[in-house]
Amino acid sequence: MLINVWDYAKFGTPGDDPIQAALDAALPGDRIYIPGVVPYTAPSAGWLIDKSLEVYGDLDGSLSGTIKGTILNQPNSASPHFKVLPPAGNVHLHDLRLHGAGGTGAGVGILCQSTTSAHLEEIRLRRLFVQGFPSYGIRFDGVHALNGRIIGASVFDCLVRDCSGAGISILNADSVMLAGTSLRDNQGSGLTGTASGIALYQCDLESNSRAAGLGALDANLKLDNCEMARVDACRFTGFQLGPVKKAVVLIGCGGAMVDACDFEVEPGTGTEGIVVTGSGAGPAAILSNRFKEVNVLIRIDPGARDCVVFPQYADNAAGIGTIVLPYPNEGMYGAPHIVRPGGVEMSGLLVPSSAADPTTGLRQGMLSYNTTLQSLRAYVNGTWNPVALDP
Amino acid sequence: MLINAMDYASLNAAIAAAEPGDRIYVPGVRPWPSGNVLTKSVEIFGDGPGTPGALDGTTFIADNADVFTISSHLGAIGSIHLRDFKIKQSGTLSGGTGIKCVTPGHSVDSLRLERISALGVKSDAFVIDAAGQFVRNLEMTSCLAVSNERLGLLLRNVRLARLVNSFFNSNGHGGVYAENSGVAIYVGGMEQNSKGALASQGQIEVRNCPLARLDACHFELFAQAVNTNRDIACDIADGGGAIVLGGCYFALDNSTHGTAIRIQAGTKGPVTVLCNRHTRVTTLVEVAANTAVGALLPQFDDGADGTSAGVKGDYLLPSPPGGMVGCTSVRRVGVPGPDQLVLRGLLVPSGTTPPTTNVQDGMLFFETDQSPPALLVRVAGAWRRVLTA
Repeated sequence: MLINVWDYAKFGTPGDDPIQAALDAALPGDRIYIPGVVPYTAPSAGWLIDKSLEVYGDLDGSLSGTIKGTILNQPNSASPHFKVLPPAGNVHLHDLRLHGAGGTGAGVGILCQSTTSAHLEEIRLRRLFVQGFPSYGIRFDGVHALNGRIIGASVFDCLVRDCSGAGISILNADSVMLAGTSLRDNQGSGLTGTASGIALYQCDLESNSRAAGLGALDANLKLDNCEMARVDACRFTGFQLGPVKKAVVLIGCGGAMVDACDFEVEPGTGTEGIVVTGSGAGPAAILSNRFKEVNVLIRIDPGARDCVVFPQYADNAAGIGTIVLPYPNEGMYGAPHIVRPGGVEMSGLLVPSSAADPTTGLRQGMLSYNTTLQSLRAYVNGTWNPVALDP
Repeated sequence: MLINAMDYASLNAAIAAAEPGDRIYVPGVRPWPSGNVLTKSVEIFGDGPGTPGALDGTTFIADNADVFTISSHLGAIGSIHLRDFKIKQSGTLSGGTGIKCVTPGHSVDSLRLERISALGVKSDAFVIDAAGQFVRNLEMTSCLAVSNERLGLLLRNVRLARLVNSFFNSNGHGGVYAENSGVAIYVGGMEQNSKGALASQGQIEVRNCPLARLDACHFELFAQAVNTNRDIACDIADGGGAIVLGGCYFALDNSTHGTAIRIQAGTKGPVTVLCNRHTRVTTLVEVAANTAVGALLPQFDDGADGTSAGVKGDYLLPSPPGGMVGCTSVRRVGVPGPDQLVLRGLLVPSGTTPPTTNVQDGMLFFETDQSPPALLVRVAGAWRRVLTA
């Protein structure tokens, strides 16, 4: 059933909140429409959604400083604006402008929170404008428990900006997909994901990680111990601002892939595009990407294993942009060429290297470089043999 | 607020009355004219595109003017959402584009096109030409551009353009032309484009794009151009950027020519070609000499149609292949005789002199300028020749 929140407005009644009244009255599966005829202010505890609902307003109508559409204001810096709690599932929020109270505090724009025994599933956010929250813009807060994770969340065509925390924070959530979403000018990371499965497609992360007290790895996109990490055709700009100066950091992620992304900053020092770090990180595949004025295109730290690095494009003159790889490389393959407008900085073919010959999963014809023996080795007839070199 | 366009004398009058953020419903009770101009954030939606040849659904008639012109000349536009209608040629009048977005002076932050069919327009179907200020985000989902006289989609200076499940068939000048844009196409289809005598594009042409991504796309019957030089499914040209293609399907009928992926001379790359499937395609991947470096992975070639001699597709690479890495094996099935695995070795980067940057011990490199040429391995900081005799 379609519900218009204005049918729940008790005009002239102090403390009346037609949106929460409609949320309470709705049955699972209903649609709630919030017309953009006036701005709305959330109750002090925020709006609670605990059932399957579609909640929507009028399109974000910004035009050269004029703000229109359905505008939802946060009353204070302490409370979440929307709180989605079990047994809610199949919740769909779209076409809303969420305006935070600014400053710092615990108040999140949208907080989706499971419990140890009750998971949340299918949270769909579309065309939301989330701005100026004292904490995160959007927070998926799952629990590391068999029945406590958030399962299936998607954020499409949203803009999250000017929040005091990360734009989006994801914890213990599976199958989270973001597409066409912009994360801009947030004091924390644009997106930070921990112990989750996250894929970003065509997202735009710009000038995040601005707060002075951030850790060295609090990049514009920070994925920490994620079981799935996919970054596809995204754009990272302005990450030279703030203290971190990193676009993408993959910490301890196994099975990660970054491809066809564009990294651009203003000329400066200390900027890094893609960082793979953390003991046990990898495999991570870094396919072709483009960089402009980035000091370190890719850094893979010792401890990361089995990474693939394909050629990259650096849209600037020689001398700006390096690729830093570990040695021994512990399973690396690829070719870290850097293509530039004036030519190619050719590299060789990366052969997996380690301090000792590999011992498991061996097949005839394999190549490995033994850094202790300083010898290229070929696996032939059941043993590792040195490849003969011209003396 | 929801506005019904029938309450106004015209759609333009409804747009003029709308506040930014409003939705305008265009019922499919009669055909709607072209010449609609959008300068503010609104959503316009109809009853759906209906049947291709009919006037059912919500149908706009393409005549002498563009059906929709989106222009930011009055100020930056936050969000425009057009969905659920059809654009159809008038039959007699020549004219304008289906949907055109231009950005003189101000930017467009978000433009979403959903479930829009553009059929038989006498010009380009969709044009997003951000020659002035940028278009930040374009999303095009479940749209169709069929039998339009020029291009299915032109993109220029769009920061991020995402096409999902959109199809471009039988457009005279080509399916998609993307220039200086960040474009990603997921699960798209392109078929029988570039057939016109004035065809200037392949099924898709990616030119000087900072990022380009084609994922799980379907290309069919792309060898029917008047100019056989345009018998190309995916044409990559100019500049440098990150281009990744994978999981795509390229199919031809009984044509004797056709190139699935062409990387033109002068393209710096890098280009990564992941695994794809091809049916009766002559050239699976063509890389011009002295051009892009990149990574190439094995391809699957479903060569024969059961009645003809079959087409054995293959890589076409320069020799030496320069900075290419990977493995260019081709698995062929359906060719006369048993299935073939055209097994190739590991592609080792090659050049006239050994690399001096981005190197570490254990790397391999093939030096072409020696007599005889030599495979080198880097050991203890120096390049050493591998003995092959």
